[in-house]
Formats: sequence, C-alpha cells, structure tokens
Amino acid sequence: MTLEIKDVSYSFDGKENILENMNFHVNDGEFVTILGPSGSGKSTLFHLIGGILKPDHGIISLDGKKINGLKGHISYMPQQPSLLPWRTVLENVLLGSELAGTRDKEKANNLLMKAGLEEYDKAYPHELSGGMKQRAAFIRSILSPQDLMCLDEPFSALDELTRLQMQQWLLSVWEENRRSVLFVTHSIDEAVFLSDRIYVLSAKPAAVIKEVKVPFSRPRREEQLLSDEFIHLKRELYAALKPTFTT
Amino acid sequence: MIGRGIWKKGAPFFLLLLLLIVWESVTVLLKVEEWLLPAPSAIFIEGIESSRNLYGHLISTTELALSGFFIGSCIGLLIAAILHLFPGVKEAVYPLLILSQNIPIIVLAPLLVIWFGFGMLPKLIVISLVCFFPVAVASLDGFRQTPYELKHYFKMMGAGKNQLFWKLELPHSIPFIFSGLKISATYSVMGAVISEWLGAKSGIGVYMTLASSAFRTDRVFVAIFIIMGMSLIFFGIITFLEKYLVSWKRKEGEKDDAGN
Repeated sequence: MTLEIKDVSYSFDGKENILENMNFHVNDGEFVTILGPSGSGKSTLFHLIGGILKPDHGIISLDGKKINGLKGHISYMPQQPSLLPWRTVLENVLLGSELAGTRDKEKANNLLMKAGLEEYDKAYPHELSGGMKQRAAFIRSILSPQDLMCLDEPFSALDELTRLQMQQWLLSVWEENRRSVLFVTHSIDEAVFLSDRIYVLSAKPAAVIKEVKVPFSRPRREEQLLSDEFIHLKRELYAALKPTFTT
Repeated sequence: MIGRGIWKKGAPFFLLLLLLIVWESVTVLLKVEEWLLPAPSAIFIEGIESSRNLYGHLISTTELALSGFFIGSCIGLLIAAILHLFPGVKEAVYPLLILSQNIPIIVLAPLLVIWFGFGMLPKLIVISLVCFFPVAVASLDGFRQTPYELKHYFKMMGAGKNQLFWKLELPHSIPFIFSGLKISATYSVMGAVISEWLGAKSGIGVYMTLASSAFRTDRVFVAIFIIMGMSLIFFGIITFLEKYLVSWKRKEGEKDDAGN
C-alpha cells in the first residue's frame, strides 16, 4: 500500500495555513517517519489522512485512489492508548478489526502472546502498566485490516526505558508483518532508530523541509544507536530542525 | 477497629432507632392521643395484625411500580438517545422535558382519570412521567461526557454514527444510566401510591386513603413505613445490578483508592 500526499494545503479559518504545499509519500512496506516540532501540524496531517478533515488543496491518495475526506482507510494508533475501560484486553485489541467488520480472535491471541500479554487477555485496561497499554493499542492497530498504519507519537507519554523497550518490540513485530507505516514523532533518536526514511517538517505553516534516508540494515540492533553513522545522522537532523525551534 | 466499622456501617440504623425511641417516649410521656400520633410500637403491632390484608395491597403496588418504572426508564433512555443523536431535536425538546417535571402530579392525576378512565393507563402515565426524567438526564450526561480521545480514535478508524453510539457512547454511559435508575426506582413507589389515590381496587395507596378517612392514623403510618421499605428494596436491587454489570468501574475505583 503506497500513500501519496501531493501539494496538500490546509487552514482552519481560510487565512493562515497549518499545512502548506506538503509533499511526501510512503512506499509499500516502508516505515516512514514525520519528524517535527510540537505544534507543527502533525496531528492535523493525520486528521487529513484519516478523513476527519478535508484538505483545501492537493490530493491524498492510497495506491493511486484519491481519499480526500474519506474515512476508514487507515489503521490508527493514537498518542493515548485509548482502550475502552469496559472491555477486556482481548476485546480491546479486536476493536479496530471489529469496526471494519473482521474479527480474528486466533490472530489476536497469537499477537497478545508475542507481546507478553497472554495472561492479561481477560484483564481490564486499568490493570495494565503504561507500556502494556501501548502494546495492546499497537496490537489493536496491527489487527485492523487497513494496509496503512498511522502511529501518532505513540510512545511520547512513556518513560525513557519503557520507550526503548517499546521501540524494539514494535520493530520486531513490524518486521514480521511489513505493513506500510507512517510514524509521527518529535524525538530524533526514535525517528532514526525506527524508520527507513524521515521527513523533517517546518513549524507553522508545516511543510517538508528535508528528506533523509536511514541507511541501517534491518533487523535493527541496539548497538546501532551508538554508531558514528547514527550520531552523524542525528546531527544532520538536528541542524535541520533547529531553525524551527525559534517559532 | 471492628467496633468503629460496625458504627460506621450501622450509623443510619442507630440514628433511626434513636428517633423511634424518642418518638415512643414522647407519645407515652405526653399521653398523645392515638388518632393524632400513634407510638411506633402500636404501629408495629397494627402492621403485624393486618399483614394478611396488607399482602394483597403490597403485591398490586409492587406490580404497578415495577411496570411503571420499567416503562418510564425505557422511555427515558429512548428520549436521551434520540436527543443525543439529533442535536437539533435536543435544543427544541430539552426545555419541554424540564417543564414536564414542573406539572404538579396531584393536579394532573385526576385529569388523566377524566381522559383515560380508572384503568391501568392513567396510573402508568403518572409513574412513567415521574420515572423517565432522572434516567433521561443521567443518560444524556453519560453520552455527552464520552472522553474525547476515545471518540477521536473511533472517528479516525472510520466508525459511523451507529458504531460510535452502540460501541462507545452507550457502554460508556452505563454507570450514568444506573445513577438515573436509582433515583427513578425510589420515585416509582411514590408515583405508584399517588396514582392509586385516583381510584384503584387495591394497593398501598388505597389502604392509605381508607385508613386516613377512618382516622386510623396507625394504619397510615404502617403504609408510610411500607412505602419507605419498598423504595429501599428497589434501590438495593438496582445497586446490586449495577455492581454486577459495571464491575470494571468498581475495580477501577478500588485501584484508585489503593493508590491514595
């Protein structure tokens, strides 16, 4: 599944643009990260792809099919786990597929086992730790049948160590499935460690100011986090992001 | 510590006991006439003696209250769902709902008899009118207070209005609905008794009217205590159902308590 964003502009009031002539794409099976300062319209971008908002100009397309303002084409993982408190973990991870009309309990149980949540399938979300909740939320988005997964800063609320664990776990699950992923974050480390390609966004109005290919092979290893190449890439991205801090 | 626990749990009971003792002593010491204010003991004895007679009344009032409560609550829930799903309707109808609660039932009841006769219908209308409102208001609040991030997830996943309501808003508002049901359950007994004053063959309301016109004050008090007891039992049943059905919420609360 390929996603293409072409010349997309959007403004809330018709005057000041939130997004301006945004152009980027996600290839089939590719992990692409949007890196930008907070308040740079990353969430708005997701709302546009999710079809909640409609762009003023430009085309959003999936496999060449225009999906401007159309809902239900993406699998979404929000910043908060957003699990339903009255559903058990198993029923929660099935929610995304249920909304799309396909429930696969067996696959759900399998993935829960891989996430180390097999003993919690009948537990309620409030019994889980923050990291476990996010794992459940990620499984929910994997089980959703849509081919493109949009992850909106999913680990930003976690502590550093849990976050690192979650990134590795996410990669291990994703490398088995290889769905197209659009990932949003404001963490440079996270972007480099996870993605195949990175787009850097400017602050208001948001536009792509830099595209970086991440040369590391997969599966990714922790040691790569400390390699010279990694540091070099980090420096490059930091230099690109720095001008956006002032606004 | 155990003593404290008993005191805490039994506090309302002890208070009630104290009130009864004061009441009993006042009637004995001041030699109050029985038709003015009978002693609690006299009321209790009268209750036991006429229990056979009371049983039939109790059954018909219970039936009436339960059916009225059921109909009223369903209507309340239905109205809340309609108002929530059609915001335009809500603006027009909500003020009228509040007005409906300002009609004095005592005045409306005889009118309903003129319109619909002495059958079940006017009685059920009275009870439903009292019962629907708490459920409607509580459910509306529940629908409205659905957390933004959950709604946002549903929308991003392309959920339609139907899915949003049945899978998110309705289950989320169940604890709210139960708050409404508890109020309605206690009102339903009162509603049933008032509607029986209009004219019925049997029921606590009938027993009460007969007793008061015969100056049998002790029997009036028997009826009052029965009404109180019924309300408490209704309330208890709803609370029990709530604990069973909203168990996730209870566990969530326990965890919060432990954290504090």
